Amino acid sequence: MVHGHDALDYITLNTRTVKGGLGIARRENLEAYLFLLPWIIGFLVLTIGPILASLGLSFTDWQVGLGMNFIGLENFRLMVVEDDLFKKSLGVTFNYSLMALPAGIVVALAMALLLNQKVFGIGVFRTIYYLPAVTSGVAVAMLWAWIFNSEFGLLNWALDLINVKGPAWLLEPRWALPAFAVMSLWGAGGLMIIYLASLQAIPQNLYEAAQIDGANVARQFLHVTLPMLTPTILFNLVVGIIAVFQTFTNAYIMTAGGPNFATYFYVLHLYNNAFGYARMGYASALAWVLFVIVLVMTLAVLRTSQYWVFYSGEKE
Amino acid sequence: MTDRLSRRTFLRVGGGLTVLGTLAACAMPTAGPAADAEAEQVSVTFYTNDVGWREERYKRIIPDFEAEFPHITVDYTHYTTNWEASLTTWAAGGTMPNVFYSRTQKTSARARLGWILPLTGYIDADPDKDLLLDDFWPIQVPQLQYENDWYLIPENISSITMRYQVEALEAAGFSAPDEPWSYYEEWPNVVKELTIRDGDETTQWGFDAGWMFQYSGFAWIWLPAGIVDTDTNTCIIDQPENVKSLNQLQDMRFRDRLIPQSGDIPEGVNMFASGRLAMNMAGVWEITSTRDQVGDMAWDIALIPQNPLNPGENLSINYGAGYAMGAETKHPDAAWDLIRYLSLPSMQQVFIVEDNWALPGRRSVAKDWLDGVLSTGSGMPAHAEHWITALETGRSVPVTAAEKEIEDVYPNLIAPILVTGESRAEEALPHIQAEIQKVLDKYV
Amino acid sequence: MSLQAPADKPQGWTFTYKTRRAVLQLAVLLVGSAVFLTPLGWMVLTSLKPTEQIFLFPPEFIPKPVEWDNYAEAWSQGEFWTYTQNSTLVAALNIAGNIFGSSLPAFAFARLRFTGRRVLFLIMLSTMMVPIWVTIVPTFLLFKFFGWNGTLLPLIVPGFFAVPFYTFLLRQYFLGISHELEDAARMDGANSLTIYFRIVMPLARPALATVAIFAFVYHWNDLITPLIYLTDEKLFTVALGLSRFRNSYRMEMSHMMAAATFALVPVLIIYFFTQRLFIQGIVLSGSKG
Repeated sequence: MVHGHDALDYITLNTRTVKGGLGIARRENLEAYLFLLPWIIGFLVLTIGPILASLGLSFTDWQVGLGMNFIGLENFRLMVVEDDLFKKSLGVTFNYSLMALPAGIVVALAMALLLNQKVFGIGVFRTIYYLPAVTSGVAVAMLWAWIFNSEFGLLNWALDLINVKGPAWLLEPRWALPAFAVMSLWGAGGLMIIYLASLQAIPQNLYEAAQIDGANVARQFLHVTLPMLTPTILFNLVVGIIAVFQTFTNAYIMTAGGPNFATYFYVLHLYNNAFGYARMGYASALAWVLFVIVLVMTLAVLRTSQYWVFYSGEKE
Repeated sequence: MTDRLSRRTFLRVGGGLTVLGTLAACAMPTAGPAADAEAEQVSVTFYTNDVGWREERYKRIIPDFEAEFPHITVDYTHYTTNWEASLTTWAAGGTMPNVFYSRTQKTSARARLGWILPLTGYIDADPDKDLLLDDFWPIQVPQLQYENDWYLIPENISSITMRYQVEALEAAGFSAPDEPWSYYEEWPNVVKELTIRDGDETTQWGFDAGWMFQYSGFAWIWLPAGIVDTDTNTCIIDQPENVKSLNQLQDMRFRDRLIPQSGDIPEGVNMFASGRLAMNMAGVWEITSTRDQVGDMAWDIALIPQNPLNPGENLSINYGAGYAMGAETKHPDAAWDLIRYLSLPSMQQVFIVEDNWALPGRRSVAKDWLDGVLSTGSGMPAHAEHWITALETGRSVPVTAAEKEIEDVYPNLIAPILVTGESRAEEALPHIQAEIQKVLDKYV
Repeated sequence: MSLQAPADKPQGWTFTYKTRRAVLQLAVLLVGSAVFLTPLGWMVLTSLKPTEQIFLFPPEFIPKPVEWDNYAEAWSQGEFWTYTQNSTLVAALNIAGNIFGSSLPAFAFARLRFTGRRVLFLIMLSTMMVPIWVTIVPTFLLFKFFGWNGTLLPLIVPGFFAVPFYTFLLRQYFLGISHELEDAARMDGANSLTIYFRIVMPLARPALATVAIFAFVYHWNDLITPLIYLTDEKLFTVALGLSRFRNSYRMEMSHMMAAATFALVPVLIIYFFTQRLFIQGIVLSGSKG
């Protein structure tokens, strides 16, 4: 947890230092905790219990309906030594996150920049680009199964126009994962509107000042837009890591992890153990391994953030 | 309530074994009808999760049941999706539905975990016991039981046959077969003759098994020697007969190109209904949907070939569904009354015969079902009785508690042979056998 | 739309650099729209097709005849009017709850200095990292202990306490708000609550709109929570009602697509109107400068 402190220092550095004596600090402490109450109550009453329960379960052999025995670290040993699918699914998830996460962050930013213009009908465009992010469930899965079909699908039809012969996306192990990444880009509208909100908050006078200095569009982007967006990029990166490692729904509906385990995501393995085989103890152990992995990666990102994240509140 | 407290403690501390044992003991149905059952008004929760239209039927018949059993109120809800996650959560929380619709593939797993209660006591005490048991399909009985106890009262059962376009078969020089085609000679030949090519393009495919290649339960159709043995502890998939059969399928698909590869099929296009596919597999539940989709095209069904290892046995398999009683049911007698009522022949008229959907779980209703299908007139297969024959001569597939876990790995395991065609069966089967055995070992 | 009318209109026949740029932007936006809309268009078209036509080969794109009945049938499959009311209630309360429940702690994390801030923030972040699938069962037991099973409370109450995702989102946004106004207000004796209500919240309108949209979409589409906690059909949500079109044996594809389209419409309307708040945001933050 020492690392946690350090890492967080880097993103909280900007908060102004308290001037004045102990009294003011104490008052601010009290105020802060009053503001925090909604989170503290929810955390203590609704959140922490179930989370600790799952941590406890990870040391048991509990199968829902059968007895529960404390088995120490046995679940973790099984994972590493016997469960081939644990390694397989972890690999799939890492590969996928390397494809989907950077692409998502960049594409969503590009979309947001495009939609942050004063063009006629921009409200309609914003709605169109965001819509895919809100369609969910089986209908979307079926849509994409159709789009990815090798002979009759829309994607290969489009590729054919530029004389590229597309593969059988969801049926060839090496293309299935990239296909999922493409699909996730279609839903990048969620990240996009987070960027959009931040873009809207950049004061116009910064651009005006840059223009007076003779900065062209590219320089304005590099010296005004991008620095002002870094807190949002950090947010999207951290939230993206957490989310991408929990990828589940489309694989569950569309491929059930196939072909040949090419889309067998970690959380699919976890879900199958929890609800397919009622093996709740083992599923909890899987969850806590994932927790540690994601936590370490998040801390690593937070740690680097001091070098590239800029908060406008800092320049007083 | 001590009940609540104890379950929370059980989660926190992990001393659940005793608690669960106690709870289970409390929830065990007392044998024979309880004396005070009639005096007191009781409520029974009842959940179903099958096709949407059945919900209306349940809402139609539940008032009849309540009229007949005035002391019972039925609390009915219909679900269709994420049923497993809900059931698991309810099982953990002690709020399982008292009566629910349960597939026969799940009986062993649910009984093993104690999510459903044995019904043997009620069946034994039933005045019409012999009539009841005689009326079940013998092929389905193993899927209704677990370790010699009854757990499921059947409502429906399904078998599988080939379906073909009548004109295509006649054009290829065949007529509706009187006997099942032989597995290694006649059947591949029929498929070959049914395949029509225009240069490189296949304008009519001879056969497609679609998803039935890949689901372990259905995969038995292509595995004459089976997947697991009858005691369900040992994987026996790696046998010469299975090698021969899988290699034949692979050759038909990749060498002879008689069976479309996955990319040859447009998503959302029904190849059979659009006339691009001369023959494929049809489960009995698809009868009306096929009729609705094919339009004016004449179609019929034929039996799947017999098992080359056992000429008296058809390679068709069966699955179905029925009604089970959830653990911790407070009023098991009332729950049994509902289960019993739902399994009556008159109910199977409502849920099966009216819609020509699946086959009734009782043999005595089968004739009504067949009459219903044939009297529906145009668009129905002339040889619909084959579906019943397939039940009478088909193989009884053992269902293990590991069913779901095998189901999850099987499509990936079989893919090298049947989906990508990169391995011959003799190379892949030893590995597949070892993998399935690993799963089975977890359940011993 | 008047707010976003193009700033630069072509002057005579001379296309300025800005005008050309606007035309280029419009072209890119249109191409992108085509990419994003095509799958949805197929969904809508399929929803209007008669069953026979769905399975035609080669596929036909235009429904013939147009089957509006698919919508009528989808609607009549359940008590959709009741479901819509329930979903609206759940979504509306969650929007309100999420905005206040998350912005208050976010304000503390972003603008106040207090002991344990870093640790508490990290703890909050890490609660997002436990996959929900392993907390579903313990949460169910907890809510059962509260006596919430079979009611809408499990769908509503948690929304009034901070949602880590939104708290983090708002915190990042609050951090970007300049301190000048706040310092001036504090000089005048304003306390933190005043700062929160008078300065930070109004300036954060785009971010709050984002939270509102996310909250609406999440609760409108959420299937797993209603599925586990609701057993009375009178309390069902739209997502739960729609899930009935899915089954393994008989796929009524046109109905399913009709249902999916139907679920999309309220989201579309809400989003179309909320995104205007972004524009108001620009005015505010532009003027504060």
